[in-house]
Amino acid sequence: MDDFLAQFRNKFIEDALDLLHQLESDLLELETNPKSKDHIEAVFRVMHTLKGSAGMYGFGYIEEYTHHLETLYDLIRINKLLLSGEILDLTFQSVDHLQNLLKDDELAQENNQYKHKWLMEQVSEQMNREVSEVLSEEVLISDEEETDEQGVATYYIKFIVSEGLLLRGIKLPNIFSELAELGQYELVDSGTNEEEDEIWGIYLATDQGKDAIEDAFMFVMDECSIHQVSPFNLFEKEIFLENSEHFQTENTPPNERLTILEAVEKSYQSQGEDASLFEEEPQEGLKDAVIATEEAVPLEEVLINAPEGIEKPSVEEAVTPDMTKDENIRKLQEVLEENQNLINLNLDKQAASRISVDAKKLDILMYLVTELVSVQSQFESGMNAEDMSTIEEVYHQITKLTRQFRDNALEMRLVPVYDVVVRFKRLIRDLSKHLGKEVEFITQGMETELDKNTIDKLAEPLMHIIRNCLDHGIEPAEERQRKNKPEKGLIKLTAFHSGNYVFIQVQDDGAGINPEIIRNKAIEKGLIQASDKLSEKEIYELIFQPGFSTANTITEVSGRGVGMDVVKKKIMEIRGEVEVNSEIDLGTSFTIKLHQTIAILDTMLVQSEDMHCLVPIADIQTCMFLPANEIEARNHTNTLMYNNELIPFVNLREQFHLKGTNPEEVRVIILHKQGEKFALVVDKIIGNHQAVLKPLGKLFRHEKIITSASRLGDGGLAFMLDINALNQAIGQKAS
Amino acid sequence: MNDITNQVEDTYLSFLVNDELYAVNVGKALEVHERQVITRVPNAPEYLKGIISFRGELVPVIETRLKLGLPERDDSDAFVIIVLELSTDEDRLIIGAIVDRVKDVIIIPRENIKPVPKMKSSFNAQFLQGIAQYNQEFLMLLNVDKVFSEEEISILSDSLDLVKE
Repeated sequence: MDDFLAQFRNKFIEDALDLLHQLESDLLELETNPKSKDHIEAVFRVMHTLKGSAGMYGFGYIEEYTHHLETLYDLIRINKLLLSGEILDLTFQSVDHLQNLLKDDELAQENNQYKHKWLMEQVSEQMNREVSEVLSEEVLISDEEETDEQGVATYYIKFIVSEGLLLRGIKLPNIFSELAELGQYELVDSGTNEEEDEIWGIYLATDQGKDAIEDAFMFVMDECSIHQVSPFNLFEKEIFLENSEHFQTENTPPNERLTILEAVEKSYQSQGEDASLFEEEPQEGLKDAVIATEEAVPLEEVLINAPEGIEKPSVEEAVTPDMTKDENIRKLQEVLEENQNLINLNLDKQAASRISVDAKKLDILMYLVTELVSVQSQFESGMNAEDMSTIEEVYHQITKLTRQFRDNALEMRLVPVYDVVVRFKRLIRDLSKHLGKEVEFITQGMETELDKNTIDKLAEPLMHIIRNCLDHGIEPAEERQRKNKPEKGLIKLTAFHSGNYVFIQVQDDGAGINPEIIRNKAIEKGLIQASDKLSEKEIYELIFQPGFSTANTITEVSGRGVGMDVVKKKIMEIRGEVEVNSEIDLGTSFTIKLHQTIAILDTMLVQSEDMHCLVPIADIQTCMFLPANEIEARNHTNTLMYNNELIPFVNLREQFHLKGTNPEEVRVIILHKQGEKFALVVDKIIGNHQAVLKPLGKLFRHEKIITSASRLGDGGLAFMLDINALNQAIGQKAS
Repeated sequence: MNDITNQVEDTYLSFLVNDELYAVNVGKALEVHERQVITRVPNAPEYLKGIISFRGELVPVIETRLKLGLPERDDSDAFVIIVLELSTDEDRLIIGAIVDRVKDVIIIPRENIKPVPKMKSSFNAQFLQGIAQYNQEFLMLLNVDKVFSEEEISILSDSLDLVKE
């Protein structure tokens, strides 16, 4: 029973975290545009929703606090209070506090208790500043309810057709039939917002008042805003249609808009009045409409591939009878594509333990499963047959299917980098405030996809790098002025694909890294000798050394330079590499190179005695044979000649203290990692292996070079060699 | 409902190690494996015989004889692996224990379990949770959670220097 309750509570926590995430991005929007009604409304809604569900699941303090904030935002919403920077700061702190409350709902921790009390007082104080006069100049559209002598007024309803709506399975036709009952209405297409949600504008003349409209939009209140535009019936004025662009916010040319308007109107005349159509499933409605315009087949094909719920917004658009066939298809495809994007974007809003998957990928999975079932029955009949040819064919099909299953599964795990960016926006905002530096944060290529695990583990090191850019990279405003740079600093986060890798780059336009300073510091710290000759690249590498710090003053923000070595370690844990480039006074860039997926790896299977090991193909430069005595003769230095270069080598046999002796001829694998070359000596190279890696677990954590293993065909296991750790082990032996 | 829980609590899997009878609670045992290939892990302590793949995960295998301070088996001797689920402070852990032979599944009522008498010091008697008599034979009931948690501590102290960061 407790488990049952706990399950619901966890679900609430997950949802609440989603909501707070959402809230954070709304707040960031509000910061740039504090008068945005939509976002104020959104904040209010989040508070309202949180309050309701917190109460249900027994999070009393959250309920209390959100109730308080809700009241505050209600005042702002109705223009009794101006949204000040102070309030925004307070709300940001509230987000943090609410997150703490989710973990500590009893206020068991003293600082949470204190914080709760303090924040509550702060919010109350803000509420007392309530301004009495309505800020009429600030408001474009008045909220006062006025009507003409018949009690009719015209309202403008801005309706955002968001992905949430589609996924919730809201039936738009039902809403419109309710609107039709209220009075006369017109639908205008007013474009898309920055999230690429479609925005519909609806003019409605009714004598029922605003409450009745709100009732009609009850289930989609979060997605729409209702304002009175005139205290009379606008549709009676002929100038309305001519001037309709006046009421709209988007810049679509008026004639185009009118076509849509007319088209929609016509479609409702021809089909909308058939009430039964609206009672049916929307998809049915669409099919009917499609048949009516005589292109049932192609459209249905598109629909089959569409994720559930996407057809709905298409209803009104697809049914326009005056559109040509091609236009109609294109329109529908556009809608589908757009919704595809929405679903992709939706990924980032999910809590860490859940993942939303593109419906297309699920379709492929289903297809693969049906294939597998049929192959299985072929296999069965093949077993009864005399000759082996059927079995052989089945084998090839299974091989192909396995590969397809693998690709499908890997694709499902891919998540856009976008996922982590919201967190950074907030971090940069808080830090730049804290440090008194103005910084602009731009992102590029955030739709680049990475394995979910990689993304989760990437957040921390990336955050550290960004923090360093802000703290050490970007100079204070006065200094920037002196250098003829814009006062506002710039941090750019870029993600892109190249070959089998995904690159993530953080660039700043700050002071850059002075190699001389790094060098002197490293000598001072005893990391290098004054006589050592290092290339610029090697010098930059020094910042990743443990215990290295260049900031002259230790700041609260990036601490004592314990950071960068941890950054490198974390990135190496996800099998990535990191590189620094810098120019004095122009800026610094950190480039992280990552594998797109780490779940399955292409490796080479090698063997020494009875031990099987795996080497990532990506790290192998070349392989060669050498007589064992040649290697043994070089044992005193552990280096060998390769391409006129002396490179260190490590013998698997010695590294793992294996019994037995080298065979007459050994295999030498030349590895290339982080710009360093070294060789691995093994008895045998067996071949390619697609490794599904599993961790060895904590019982074996003393072993640094092998941390995971993969199952072989014979039931045995092969150890994955951590090439970085192996390289380091060589270094340790040498010193 | 309660009867069944009691029954599980009182049900034991008995097995032979060095010709003596031991038992673990069936609630702890997930599977018994014969003829499983154990892959040796280099540089591991002696009682860690290696790893096996169990339900897609890697599971460490421990030689029960060495853990208990008994003489080591000959390489040619047959063995089975009992896969055990342990509850430690941190989380669920799965290990494989190498024993000579699995014998039976039996019910031992709680009142039949007696405290452990004094035993020879080379035998690790602290891993026993009690002694039970069953069909004129004595069974030593293993406290599997403890066998393993001891494990943890020794490994932890070995690698503490490396982990310190």
